[in-house]
Formats: sequence, structure tokens, C-alpha cells
Amino acid sequence: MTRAEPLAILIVEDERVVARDLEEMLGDLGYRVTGVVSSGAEALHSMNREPAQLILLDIRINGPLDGIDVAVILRRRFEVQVVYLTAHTDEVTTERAQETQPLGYLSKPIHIAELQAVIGRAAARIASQPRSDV
Amino acid sequence: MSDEDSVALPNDEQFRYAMEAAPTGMIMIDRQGHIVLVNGQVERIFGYGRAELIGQPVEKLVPERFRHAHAGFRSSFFVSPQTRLMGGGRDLFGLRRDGTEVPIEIGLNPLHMDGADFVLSSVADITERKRNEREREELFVELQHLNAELEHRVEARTAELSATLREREVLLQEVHHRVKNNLQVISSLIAMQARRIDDGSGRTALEECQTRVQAIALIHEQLCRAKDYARIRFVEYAKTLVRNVFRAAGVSGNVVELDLQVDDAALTVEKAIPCGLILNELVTNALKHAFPDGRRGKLVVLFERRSDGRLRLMVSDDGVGLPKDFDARTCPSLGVHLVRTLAEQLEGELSVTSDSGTCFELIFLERASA
Repeated sequence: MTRAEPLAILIVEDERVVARDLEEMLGDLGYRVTGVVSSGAEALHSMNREPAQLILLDIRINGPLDGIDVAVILRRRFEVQVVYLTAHTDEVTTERAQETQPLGYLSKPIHIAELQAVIGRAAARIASQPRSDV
Repeated sequence: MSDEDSVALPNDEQFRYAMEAAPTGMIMIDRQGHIVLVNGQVERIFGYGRAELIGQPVEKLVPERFRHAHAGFRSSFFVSPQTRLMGGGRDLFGLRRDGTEVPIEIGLNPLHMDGADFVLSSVADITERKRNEREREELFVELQHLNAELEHRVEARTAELSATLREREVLLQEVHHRVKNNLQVISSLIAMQARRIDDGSGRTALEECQTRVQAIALIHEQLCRAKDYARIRFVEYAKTLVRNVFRAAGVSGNVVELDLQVDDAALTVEKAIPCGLILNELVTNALKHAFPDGRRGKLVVLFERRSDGRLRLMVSDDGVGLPKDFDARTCPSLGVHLVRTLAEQLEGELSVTSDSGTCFELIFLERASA
């Protein structure tokens, strides 16, 4: 992959309409969406099939694992960064989320300008980080 | 009593009279421990007639279990006689004629009369005092139990209320979360529809509709964030909302300077939603119409509690101003129509001026009029 290629993003969001809207917005912004899934298991499957550089991850998702658990697992297995989609969260959840070193938070409802700003910053951070496989 | 042991009884009438008049029992014994004199109180306390006691060893009035020790104490008293209370703080008991015991307090006084040593003891029946003490102790224990029970009940009730409060908070949080999620779905539906419309004005209309939904969703987010589900701090809300509207309109703060003057007032949800929607419309309109062709300018958003207690929301700009024939009552713009409608809902007074730029001002009561 070269730097010129668009950032590959996996969307993990169980509200399918919201997920599709995100996919369209990210497409309009020039990013490549590797998958739209709604659970941790599906996210793992999608990452195995086509690794993403960034996961856009809702904290409340389908299945036994919440978004933070999924982030912990995926970040152990893959070289991937996280941006959380949050409504509000309690302090404990925020602390747990913070331990996974996310590159940003997006608050719902998500506006394209906000999405552009947060994902843009995350993309810049990812581009500036040396990759372990090169 | 043998002749050797006998001693002369004090025969001073005044002494006897004084003993008789004493409010407590008085027993006088000689060195050998024989009773030589008692008063009427002793007869009443112990149930013996005076004749049954005179000449008898004083241990006759001591319960069996204390008798042996008592004789020893008595002998040692004569070795160093001094006025003191008997028993050294222990509970003392006397033995009545009927075999029952009576709690007593005894004061010992050494006497030397007619060349002989005596002990004059004052005996107080403390049955009443002991009963009072016992009742006080029982009452105290009962009070302690009652207190403990009350504390327990208060703790249990407090825990119950705390649990109810926590459940209510969790429930409210969940409700707001779901409302916000649903508003996100609505927002996404509108956005997806907007993307599929080629017509520019139609698309803009849907995008404006989306920002309105987001303005409401933001209220629910602020409520959840602050964990106060009844009131919303308008300053936080206004800052975020106006920033979002700027972003949505694609207007930079370098082009249109924002002057946000918002008092730290809290609004109820019923007031905050229409007020937030009005703010959304006014800022959107200003950014859309006041600064055409990249015109630079300033937008002032003011929200304050006036000295008469009413709230004032003002959005003013130094842009191109309104058309000369502008009339808020007849203006076909949905934004202006919404502002008017929501101002009515707030029972507020809306005024529009357009001297140098445009100024919308809304004054309303925090609480609805009766």
C-alpha cells in the first residue's frame, strides 16, 4: 500500500441505516470502506478478510462484546487504530475506552463536517506513524 | 451474750433520740460484733423487732454467703477505725427476717463511748434506687435497641431509595440514549435521501432538515452528559450547536467572527428544545444570507437572564441586512416561519430589526404563564 491510497476504514455499527450513512459520507470524503458490520465477531472476520487501518466503532454494538472489548482484541491482532462513535458514556466506559488509545471520538448524530475533521486528524496521525511491516 | 462480753449500752437519752430521728437505719455494734442499739428504721428495713436484734451478732442481718467474710472485715475495721462507706463500691445486701434480701448502703462510724469501742452504722434501704437504676438500664438498653433498629431501618430505606434513584437514572439514560440513537437514524435517513437528490434546492432543504433533527438530538446528548435529566445548561448547548451550524454551513470563523455571549443559565427540556431550534434557524439563516460572496463579518449570539427574570436570546449580524419589504409574519421562508412558531410556543416576544445588518431578539419567560 502506498501513502497515496485512501485510508481503509471498517465501520462497526449495529444501526444499519446509520452505518450506511457513514459509509456514504466516508465514500464522499474519499475514504475506502472495507466493511460495514454490527458485531465483534463480524469485525474480526472482516479484518481477517481485508484489514483496515482505522475502525469506526460504536461502543454499543450487537453481541456479547461491546465496542471497547472489540477494540482491545482487534488492536492486539492487527495494526489498526480506533475512532469511537459515542452517544454519551459514563466515566467508567470513558476510562475503559481511553485505555485503547483511540484517535478520536465522534458524537451522534454525526455530521459530515465533524466526521471529516475527526477522520482527517486520525488519517494524518496514521500517515505519520511508521508501519511495523515496512 | 455472756457477761464478759457485755458492754454498757449508751444510755444518753439525747443520743438515743438522735438515733431514732435519723432518716436511715442506725445499728450500733460493739467490738465483738453484737448489736447494742438499733432504731425504728432498722426494724422497718429488716422486719425484726428491736428486742429480737439487741445482743445478737450483727451477722444475723448479713446473708449467709457473706457472713464469713463479714466477720473478718468487722475485726479489721476495729484495727484502724475510720468513717467510711462499707463495701468499697460493691453492692451490699441485708438479710430480712423473712429470709429475703434487701439492697442496702452502709456507712461506718467508729465511736468510743464510756471507754469502749463501738461502730455506729447507718443503713439505707436502696431498693428504690436500685429499682430505678435497673429500670434506667433496661430503658437504656431498650433505647439502644430502638436506636439500632431505627438506624437499620434508615440505612435500609436509604439503600432502597438510592437503588431506586440509580434505577431511575439508568432508565432515563437509556431513554435519552435511545431517543438520540433514533434521531441519528432519522438524521441518516434524511442525509441519505439528500445525497440522492440532484436538485440543489431540494437537497439543501433536506440538509437543513437534518440540522434541525441534530439540534434536538444535541439536547438529549447534553442531558445525558450532565446526568441532569430535567434541565440543560444552555451555554454548553449553544456553543456546540453554533459550532455545528458553522461547520454544516462550511463557514470558517476567520470569515465570520463569532461572538458568543451566553449566560450560564439552565433551561428545562421543554424550553431548551424550541429555544435551541430557534437558535439553529437564526444562525443558519445568518450564515446563509448575511454574508454573501465571501463577505466577512461578525455574528453575535447573546443569551442572558434579564434583571426582570425573563430570558433574552439575540442573534445579530453586521451582514447585508434584510430586504426592505421583509416582514417576519408573511415571510415564506420555513426558517423564519419556524422561528415565529417556536417563539409562540415559548410565549415569547419576537422582534426583528435591520439597521446595519440584522438582529433577531426573543424575550421569553422561563416558566410558562398560568
